[in-house]
Amino acid sequence: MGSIAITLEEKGIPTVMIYNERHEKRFMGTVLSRGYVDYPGINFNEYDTFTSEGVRALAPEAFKFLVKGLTTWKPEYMKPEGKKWVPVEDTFTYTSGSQEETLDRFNSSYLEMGWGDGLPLMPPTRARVDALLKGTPLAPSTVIGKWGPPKADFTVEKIAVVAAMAGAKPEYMPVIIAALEAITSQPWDAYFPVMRSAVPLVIVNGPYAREIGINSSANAFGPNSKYHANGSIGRAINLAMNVIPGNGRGLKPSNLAGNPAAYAGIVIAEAEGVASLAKGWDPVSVQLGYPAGTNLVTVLGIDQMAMSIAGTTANAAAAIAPNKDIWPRSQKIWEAQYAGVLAVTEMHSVTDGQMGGRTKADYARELWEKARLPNDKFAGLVLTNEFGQPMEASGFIKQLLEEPDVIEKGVPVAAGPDKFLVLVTGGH
Amino acid sequence: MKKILLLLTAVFVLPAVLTVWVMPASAADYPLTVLNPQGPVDRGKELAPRLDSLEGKRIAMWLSATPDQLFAGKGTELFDRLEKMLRDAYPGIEIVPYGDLPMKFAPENEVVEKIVAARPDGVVAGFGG
Repeated sequence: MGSIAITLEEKGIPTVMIYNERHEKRFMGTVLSRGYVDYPGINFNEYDTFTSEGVRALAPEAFKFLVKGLTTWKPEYMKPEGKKWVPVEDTFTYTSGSQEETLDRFNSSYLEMGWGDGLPLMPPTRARVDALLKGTPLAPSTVIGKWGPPKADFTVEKIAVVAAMAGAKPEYMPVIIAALEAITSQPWDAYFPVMRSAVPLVIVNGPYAREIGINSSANAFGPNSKYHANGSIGRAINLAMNVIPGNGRGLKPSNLAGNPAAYAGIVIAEAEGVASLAKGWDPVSVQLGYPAGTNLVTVLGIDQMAMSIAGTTANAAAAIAPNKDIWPRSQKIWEAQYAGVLAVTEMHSVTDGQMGGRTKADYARELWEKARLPNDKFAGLVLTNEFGQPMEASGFIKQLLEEPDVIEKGVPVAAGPDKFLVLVTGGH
Repeated sequence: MKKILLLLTAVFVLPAVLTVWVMPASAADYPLTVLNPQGPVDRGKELAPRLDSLEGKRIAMWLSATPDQLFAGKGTELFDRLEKMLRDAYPGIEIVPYGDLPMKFAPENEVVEKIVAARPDGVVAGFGG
C-alpha cells in the first residue's frame, strides 16, 4: 500500500493517504524504508472510522488534509535549508494578562505542535537553557547523534531545551547526554517501535549518580520526594526521543496499550556501596568490563516489566516472555541482544550474605536456564508469517533448534547467561 | 507647611503613582519567550511536485480494499463524502471514481499500471481495515 503510493510519487503523481492508525506500522515501515520521511499520510483512530457518525465527523479534517497533501504539502513548522528541514521559528513568545494564563498558553501551544507528553512542561527559556548548558563541557552545537525516522540532529542545545521542559537541573545533563548518545548510536527501527511499547531503562553506575542524587534506595523505580533526578532525567530522555525528531513523526506512540514508564522514564542508580560488600556482586559497570568506580550510563530497551516478584528465580523467569516482533532475525543480533535485567532489591540480604551464597552470575544463569520456551510453543510464536501461517526454520534459528540442549530443555530467550544484567537497587 | 506637604506627597502620592505605573494594564504584560525544541532533520527523498491547485485537475480516488474491508465498510462512505466536498470546493475538478480503479493492493504492478492509465494529476488513497 505505502509501496504503491511511493511508486506513484516516483512516477511524478502526487498522492495522499488516508488510513486508520492500526496500519501505521505497515504503512510507515514501507514509506520510511524507501527514504521518504515526510509523506502526507493522515491516520485516524480506528474506532472513529467504523461508524457513519465517525466518518461524518472526520471528513472535514480528512478533506482539509488531502487538499494540503496534494498542493502545499511540507512538514509543519519546518522550512527547507540545504539537505535539511529546519525549524521555521527559533523561539515562540506567548502573552496574556496573567502569568498563569501565559504558562497555560505555552503548554497548550507546545502540545498542539506535538511537543510534550501531556504533563505540564516547564518553559524552556533562554536563561533556563543557558543554565543547563553550564552542566556540560560540550559546545551547544555538538551533535551527539542522529536519530529517528528523519535522522534528526540531537544537538546539545536541543537536548538542553528538552531537559528544561522536563524540569532537569544542570548537573543532570551529563547523564541525559550519555543516555541519548547510547540511544542514538543504535539505528532507529522504522518498523517495530510502532508495535512495541519499549522505553529505555537507564542504569547509572559510579560516584556521579550519588553526587547528583539519583535514587538507588527506597522506591528507586518510583517517586521519592528526596530524589528528583530519576524522574526528571527519565522524562528528559523520553521527551527528547519524541520531540527532537519532530517533523510530525517523532517516536510514534505505540499502537498497543503503551507504557506508563514513557512519562518519567526508568532511570535508576545501582546501590554499589551495598553490592560491593559481597563477593560476586560487582556493579553492572564491572560486569560490562569497566573498572570499579567508573561513571557509566547503560541503556536497554525494555518493553515488559514485572515488579515485586517474590520467591524463586522461576517466578522471575516466568515473567520473561519472548515476543515475536523482537525475536532476533540474525545470529549477530541474537548474540548481542540482552534478554533483560533482574533488579535485586533485598539490599540487607546482600549485605548479610543471606542470598543463599549466590552471586549475580548465579542468578543470571538460573534465569537463563529457566526462562525457556518449549519448542512447540516457540514454533507457534516465532515460526509463523504475518498471517499466522507456519514457516520452516532457517538460518541460525534452524541451527539453534538442532542444539541438543535446546531439544532437551526448550529455546532460551538469550544466547547466554551473560545476556542478563543483574543489579542491586531499591529499598529493603 | 510646604515642606510637610511635599513630604506627604513623596510618602503617599508618588508610591501610589509608581504602583499604578508598573501594574499590568494590558494583556501583553506577561510575555514568555521559549526556545524551539525541534532539531534539524534530513529531508530524505523528494516527493513528486505538488499541484498549484486542485481546480481543473484530474484526481483519482483509490481504495486499496473492497468496501466491506475498508474502514469496516465505511471506506466508500468516507470517499463519497470527500468526492462531494472536492466537487463543491473545486467546480472544475475531474474525479476518477474509486469504482473505475482496482479496489485492491496486489499485484502491485498491475494496480499501479491501472492507476497511471487513468492519467490522474493526483491520487487520494484510502487504506485500512
